[in-house]
Amino acid sequence: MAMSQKWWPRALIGSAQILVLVSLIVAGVSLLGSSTDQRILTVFLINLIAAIGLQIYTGTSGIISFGHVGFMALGAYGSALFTADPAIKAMGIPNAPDFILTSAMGFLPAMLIGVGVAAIVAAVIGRVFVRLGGSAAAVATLGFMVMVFTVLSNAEEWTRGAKAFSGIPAYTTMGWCMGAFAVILVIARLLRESDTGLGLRSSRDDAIAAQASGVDVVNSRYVMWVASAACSAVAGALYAHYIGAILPKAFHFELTFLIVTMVIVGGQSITGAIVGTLLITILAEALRRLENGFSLGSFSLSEAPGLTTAVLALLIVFTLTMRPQGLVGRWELDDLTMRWLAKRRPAASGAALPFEKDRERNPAA
Amino acid sequence: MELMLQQLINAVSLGSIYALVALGVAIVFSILRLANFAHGELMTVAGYTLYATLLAGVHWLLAAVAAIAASVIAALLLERVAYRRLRSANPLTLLITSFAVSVALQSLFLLFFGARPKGIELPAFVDAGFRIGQLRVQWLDVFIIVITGLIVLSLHLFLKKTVIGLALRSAADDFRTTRLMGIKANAVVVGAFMLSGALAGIAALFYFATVPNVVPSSGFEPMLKGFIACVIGGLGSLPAAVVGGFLLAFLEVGSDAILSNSLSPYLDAIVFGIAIILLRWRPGGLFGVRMTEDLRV
Repeated sequence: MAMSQKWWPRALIGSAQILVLVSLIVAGVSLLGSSTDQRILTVFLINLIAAIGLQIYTGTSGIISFGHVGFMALGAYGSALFTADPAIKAMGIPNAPDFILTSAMGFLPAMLIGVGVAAIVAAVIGRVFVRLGGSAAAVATLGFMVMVFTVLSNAEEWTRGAKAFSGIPAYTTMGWCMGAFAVILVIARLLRESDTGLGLRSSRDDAIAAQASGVDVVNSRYVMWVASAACSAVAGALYAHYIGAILPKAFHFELTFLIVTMVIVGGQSITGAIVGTLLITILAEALRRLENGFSLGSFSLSEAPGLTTAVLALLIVFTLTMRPQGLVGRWELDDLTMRWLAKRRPAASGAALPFEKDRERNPAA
Repeated sequence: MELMLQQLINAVSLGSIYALVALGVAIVFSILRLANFAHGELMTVAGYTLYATLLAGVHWLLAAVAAIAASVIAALLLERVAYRRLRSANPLTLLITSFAVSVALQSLFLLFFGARPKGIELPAFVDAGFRIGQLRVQWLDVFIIVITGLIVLSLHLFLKKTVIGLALRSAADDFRTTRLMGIKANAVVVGAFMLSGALAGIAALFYFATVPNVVPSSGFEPMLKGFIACVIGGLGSLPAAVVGGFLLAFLEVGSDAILSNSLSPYLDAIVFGIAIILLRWRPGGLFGVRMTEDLRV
């Protein structure tokens, strides 16, 4: 019975549940919210894609990456360079190669170029990063992020250097965001539930036991690494076409911190990434509104740019001291609903509890 | 020939700063397995203290002492407020916490001091130098190199010859057994953070003597370089941190000398790229796993 259970229906059911929930949020805000709320919603969806992108790697391998914002930057610049109006490019980056200067592509092909560039870079450097774990991985990926930043800030012929690259067409709509989110959500869940993903998740508990059971840890990580870099690049492209002007500084320490926190505060599952993104977006927004609302002592808070981040960072430290495994831990939404259903009708199913599905599928582990 | 010597002095001087930062990072890491990303902010604290005291007309020697004291106090506060409760948390949580602490501190600096660079009024002797033939040597570089040498030597003696040093070394090897031997865990951890804070303070003095202005994010770059140095050498080992620091500096100065001018803005990217290539062949750092077994200080 155990082996007959297929892995992919589970991924699809889980994705569908999450999709319904997120659609409800989006529909609610679109119908009831102000235009500010809609802007926040769009940024939320873009961050959500970035967080899921990172979670594809971190959630399965247990290794954090501070470098994925670098892939976002590649996706953003890749897509922006090929879509911007040639007339604007002729003024901003007159020395760029011809194929960039003359190109005026649609959103999808340009985004795919950005994603392709990020995936190629990830594939080239990935062999190094998948061998590193823990703090060494964190430091090395942070180094990669700074590398991308340095290159983008100095390649003035291509990117206008540290100055903003503007005139990017505003293609990003709610429809694009939801579409990209749905696709990436399904990809992420399929990867996670696949044998590669399952093996890798077992390696985060005990790498030696996993390897002894035939899990190819390094190659599994490599697959996840490239896939997660590509998904991050999608978020970057959506961001560029939403904001309309990008600069290297936008893809630096602050964004890295934001995305990484969303992933870690939420937990180790895709659901966790979503919960984390939701929580941090709400917190950041609430703090921003508070800032305009009152002043504290001699500080006029609207003139205190560091305060939101400082409070956010402290709240994160607080959350992690309370729940070190993240808000939802390792569980997905469908794990939780299945458990809830099984608890309500214990006699009806007779099957093993859904939490034991991993053991069922792989009796040796 | 002169140029070569000049570059050599630059590299050793820069390497001394990196080695001090890397040592501070490695001491805490070896004992708590905590990559303290807020180490850079300890340096920024020292930087702002230096700025404020020198502006107030305090003698530079007192200002230097005050700066080191400030970063030691900041390190102890961090340990008490942020890290103590998380000591048994998983490494990823610790990592994110230290990242969050670093961001929080940067935001606080921004809140209190603003984003504009604060120029540090360095005493005149920093620019003084002497000549050997064609070669002009800055006293500052000589100071940095000699003092770093003394610090590394005395740290070595401290760890090898004193009981506290022995406790620190054994805690780095096996914290639990060390506690079973009757060593207080808090004493070891506080000791590690004090050492780390002092090293950050001294490194900050040297760093801000070469880059004489301080902004909220000043600590990020030296912190990152120090960490990369640790990773190249082998994370968790003190000798590896020192070697990694000097190696990184030689890579940096060497690449700068070899590269054409059009490529020199990309220096950081190139140096990190070489570091990453090194990690391709030795994921555990140059000294790798072997060192963490028997030679970890």
